[in-house]
Amino acid sequence: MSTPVEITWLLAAVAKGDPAAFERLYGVTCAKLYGVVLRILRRQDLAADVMEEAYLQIWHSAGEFNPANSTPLAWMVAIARRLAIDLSRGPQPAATDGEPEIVDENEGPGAVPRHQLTDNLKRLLTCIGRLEPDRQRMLLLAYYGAFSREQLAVKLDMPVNLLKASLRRSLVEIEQCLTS
Amino acid sequence: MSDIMSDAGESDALAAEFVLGTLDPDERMQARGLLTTDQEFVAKVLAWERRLGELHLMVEAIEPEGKIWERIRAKLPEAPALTEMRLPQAPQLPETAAAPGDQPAPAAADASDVSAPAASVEPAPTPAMVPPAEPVPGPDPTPPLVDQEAPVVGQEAPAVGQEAPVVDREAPVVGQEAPVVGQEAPAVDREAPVVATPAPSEPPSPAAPAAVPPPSPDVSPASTLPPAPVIPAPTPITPPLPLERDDAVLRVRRRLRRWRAFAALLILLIVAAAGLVAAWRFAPERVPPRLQPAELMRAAGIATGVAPARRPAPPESQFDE
Repeated sequence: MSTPVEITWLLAAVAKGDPAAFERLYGVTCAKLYGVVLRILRRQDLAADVMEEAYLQIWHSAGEFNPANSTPLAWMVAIARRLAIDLSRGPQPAATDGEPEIVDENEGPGAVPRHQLTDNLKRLLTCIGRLEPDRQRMLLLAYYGAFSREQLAVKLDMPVNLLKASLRRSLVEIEQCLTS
Repeated sequence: MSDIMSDAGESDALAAEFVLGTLDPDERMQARGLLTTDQEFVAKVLAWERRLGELHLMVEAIEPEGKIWERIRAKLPEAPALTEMRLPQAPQLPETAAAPGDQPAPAAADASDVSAPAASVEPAPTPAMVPPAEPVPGPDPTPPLVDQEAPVVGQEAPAVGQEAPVVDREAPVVGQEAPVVGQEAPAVDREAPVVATPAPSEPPSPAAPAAVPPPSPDVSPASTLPPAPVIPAPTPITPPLPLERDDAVLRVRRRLRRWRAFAALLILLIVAAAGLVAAWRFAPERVPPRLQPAELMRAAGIATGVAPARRPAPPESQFDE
């Protein structure tokens, strides 16, 4: 796995239009982005479309990455997530030639190897850990699956209004926890 | 819309939920609209992406199909130039040729430009980059973390699986460099013909000195002394030039001679074979028995259809019938 510093360098080279650096950047980051996107869209054909769009956007806007704001991988993941969620909210094209929908029972996130735990992630997980278990699950399910509130309400078997209030209260608490 | 705009808290929640991904289609369209018009909202979204962004570390990496990269590369504006641009770079600049292999190299090349952002990186994001050294020392966050990992994590397996594809990923990268090396090979080959081409152009040069001597005998008998010393002067000058190329010229000539001899031999063989065939056709009675087609074929070990049919058949068939 490449370090954030390496990816930052690659992004800087890509911002200058270096195609070799772009290819390298893709090789180093595509599995992470694909994992994120596929988890949200659950269909390989849609995920491939989003990957294409996301990397073209990265190619064009690599110069906008500001290392002071986030890690380069988080920046790239944010681009891919936005596109993936947009697509998942829009009218989805019918699956062509029996493209199988990926059914994933295990909707929680995977484990992080300890050496990959960043300070930011540790702080965030600490704050999430202070929520009630139900709200922890709701929040993580929302992030990793990018489910709408309606979908979440069905999954968690609770009224939408209640879920919306609970979700927003959780986000406010996390923000307060992180800024404290 | 206006409700959302008026209420700052609502705007905060919208930004947070936009990043989280829980907005329904209509709300998401509103958020998308605000992103293009409202800088304050953009800042809120960026802040939430920063807060939640590291969660991606817990997503299992999945290696995508290779054809996705093909699709992306096909859409790059300079896509067709990619392969062509590498060709000139490889021979001209050995450093840049090595660069694509090790990525630190291009980074070093860009270091001058990157250094500015990199320097600004150090203060803020270093905590994010350094953590590998720190996971242990942070005792405060770990206790809640352990609690955390139970519900959140549960499965260590995906984490292991996560690292496997990383190894696989190196393989294609290496494979991609191979073609670059392969591209240099033709370049070397290209030089070989270049060496060969000057050779044919040189035969005339030895021919030129050969042409020069004839006039000299013509001149010397016709005129008296003065022209004679003039001729030796050019002769010492001309030889040194051809002398240096003599080896190459001689080699080419030898090669040419060999090929000519070979070609002549082949032509002789063909003529002889043609003559033989013509003799069979037009004057079979004059062809010596040794050169008769049947004899030749037997000598060559080819069983003719006629011969075996004749030999065994008559005696046995007579007895049988």
